[in-house]
Amino acid sequence: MPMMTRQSKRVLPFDLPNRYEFVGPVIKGGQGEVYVCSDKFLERKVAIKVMTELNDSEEIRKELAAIQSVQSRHVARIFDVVNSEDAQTMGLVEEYVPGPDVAAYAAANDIKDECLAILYQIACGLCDIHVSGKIHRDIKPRNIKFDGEHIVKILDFGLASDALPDIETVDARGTPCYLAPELYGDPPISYTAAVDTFAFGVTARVIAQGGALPPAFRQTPPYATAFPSFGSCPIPLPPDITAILDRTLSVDPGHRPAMVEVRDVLARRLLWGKHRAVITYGANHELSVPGKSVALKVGSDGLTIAYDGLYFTVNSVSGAVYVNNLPVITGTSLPDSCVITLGPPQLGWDRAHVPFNVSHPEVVL
Amino acid sequence: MTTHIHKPGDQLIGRYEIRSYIAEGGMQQVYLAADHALNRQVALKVPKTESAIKRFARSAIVSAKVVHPNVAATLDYFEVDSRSYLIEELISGTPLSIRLASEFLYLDPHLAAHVIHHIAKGVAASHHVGVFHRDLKPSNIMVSSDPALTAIKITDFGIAKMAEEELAEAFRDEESTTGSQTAMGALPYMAPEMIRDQKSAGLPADIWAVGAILYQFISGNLPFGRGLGATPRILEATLPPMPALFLTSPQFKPLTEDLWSIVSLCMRKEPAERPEADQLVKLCAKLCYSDAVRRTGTIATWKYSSWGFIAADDGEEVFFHGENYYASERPKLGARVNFADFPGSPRNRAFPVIPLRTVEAN
Repeated sequence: MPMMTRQSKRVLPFDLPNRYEFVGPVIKGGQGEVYVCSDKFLERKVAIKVMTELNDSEEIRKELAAIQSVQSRHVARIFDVVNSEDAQTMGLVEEYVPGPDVAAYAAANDIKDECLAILYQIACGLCDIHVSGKIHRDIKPRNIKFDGEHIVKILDFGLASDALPDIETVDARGTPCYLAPELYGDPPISYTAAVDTFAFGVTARVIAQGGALPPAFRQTPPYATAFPSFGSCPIPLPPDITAILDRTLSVDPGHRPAMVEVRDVLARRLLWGKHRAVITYGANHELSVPGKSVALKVGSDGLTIAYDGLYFTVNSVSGAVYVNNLPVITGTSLPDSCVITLGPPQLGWDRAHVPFNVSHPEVVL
Repeated sequence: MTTHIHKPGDQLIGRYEIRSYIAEGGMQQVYLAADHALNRQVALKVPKTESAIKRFARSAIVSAKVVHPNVAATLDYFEVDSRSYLIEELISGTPLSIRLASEFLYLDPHLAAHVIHHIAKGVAASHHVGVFHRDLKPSNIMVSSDPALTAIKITDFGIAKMAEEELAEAFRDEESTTGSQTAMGALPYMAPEMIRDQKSAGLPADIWAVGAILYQFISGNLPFGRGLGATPRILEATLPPMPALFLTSPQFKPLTEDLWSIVSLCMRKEPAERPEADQLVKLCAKLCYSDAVRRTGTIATWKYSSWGFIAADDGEEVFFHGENYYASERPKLGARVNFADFPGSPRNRAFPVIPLRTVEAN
């Protein structure tokens, strides 16, 4: 349709192949503009990213390489590349992620029950990026959106770089507030994946704060006041989560946890109170209520196992008790599958062997 | 004999280059292709008959609507001369049907719960956008090659619509003993209302298929058998008996009971009585199972009818107790097994353990 071609010419920096039709809006980003278009072949919306600066195809190529090197369900897919007729400008045709972004979502909804699941998804995506040897360098709520199935997608790899031991930057690009303190030093600045961890921490604060960043986070280093603990967020967070999120904002990048650690702590907490231990002694006994415990005793040999919602821990031991053939010590957490043996080895066949198996729901996004 | 539509080296629209032939479904051929524009490998699907172009375009549009980690992503669609092409993400893995036929006799309740949970998520994502798969079966489900079947993706949305006429034909001719390949592959998972009237069946037929697939996982058998002889039994929809395996070990009991209740709900004769996809996901999200990393190995020792050792394929020796061996027969020396294991001393301890099919010597 000729009318459409005219329309796209007016809005877009170059003519698109007929397959794509501009439907809008235009989303301005840090490193370029995103044009929401319709793919007429597959009757779906796509996001076409074009650099604001023409002749910046090299940047787009770098971005494309970064996205393609990451295997993650939390990164939007690339469908196509489009070129201007003079081949000077290139556009990336990507999966359209409708949003909202995580800050807008946190502002518009009561996310008390969902906060950890959102943070977990972002942590998973960042882990995938870091495992692929990349640093995103522009993590912030605007670049993290929900897709139609409520799965978090990390967008805009315009600043992404390789995580090399000696990686340096001369210009600390990114977004103030989300820029790690080490990036404010004198160039050349060396940095690591911990810059993403810091930005994740600030993003987590925006979410747990219900969409807005408290004033203390609007400082630039050296920070006059320390960042307030996540314990002060309006959305109540459990102590293990508060502790690890506080660490993501450490001024020393070496003190920040790796994203894989953040992800695993969140994963464990998401399953709080959802584990089921089946203890088979004669019949099945179940331990699945946080705060409850189970005592096993044969003669003078016995132990108590308590469930705190996260772990199954040995509370007390009397006599000879073994877990998977090793003497058990009070305070140890039991593995997800083991055999508890009551009685000393000299009892031989008369020892009691009790299978102990933990299962839990799988967090499937 | 299959005629390949393309040969390696064939170029399409200046972007895709055929690398190799992968497989053939009822309606289409699948190739591995290079996407030169994006420097990646993709799956290229092309209908076998040129007349199917319009319906194939429709099915591409339908599958492009479903965006979820448990659904194969639709990347591109184009037409060249009289043929149409669908480009899908290339999944490194195997159709579940092949794993079931060549490796697994059945899945233990933990593995079954994991796989069905992911399938349910993919089905729910498609139902959210109003897409009815119509042909859910293990050959349309791709799984990663690891022993824990970590990644699961449903594929071939909308393709089944193309096969409707072929299926209708197969059921009209009840004397037919051969049936078409498509019809015979789909039949064991087909809901009664699908057999009665293809056109009036809807989303609940996908839920039935999920139930039938879960039944196959946990029992190793199709719920109503295969071939046209299964048709009257499906139409009657009397649930087959609970698999005998369920009673073998008390440790598995809570999970087997939960799985059986899901099978029973999904395979209700009356479509309206089956859970909707979201309800099914909720049921799966409550299931307690172990999704630990798995390995394969061979039973090396079996002592006092009570315990033994597994020689894992990576060389490690792992302890297992008979109660954690999920089978109706006792472990056999040399039998292939699939297992997860947990820290122990002096050896790790396996839970659960399932026997695998014997590898045929070639």
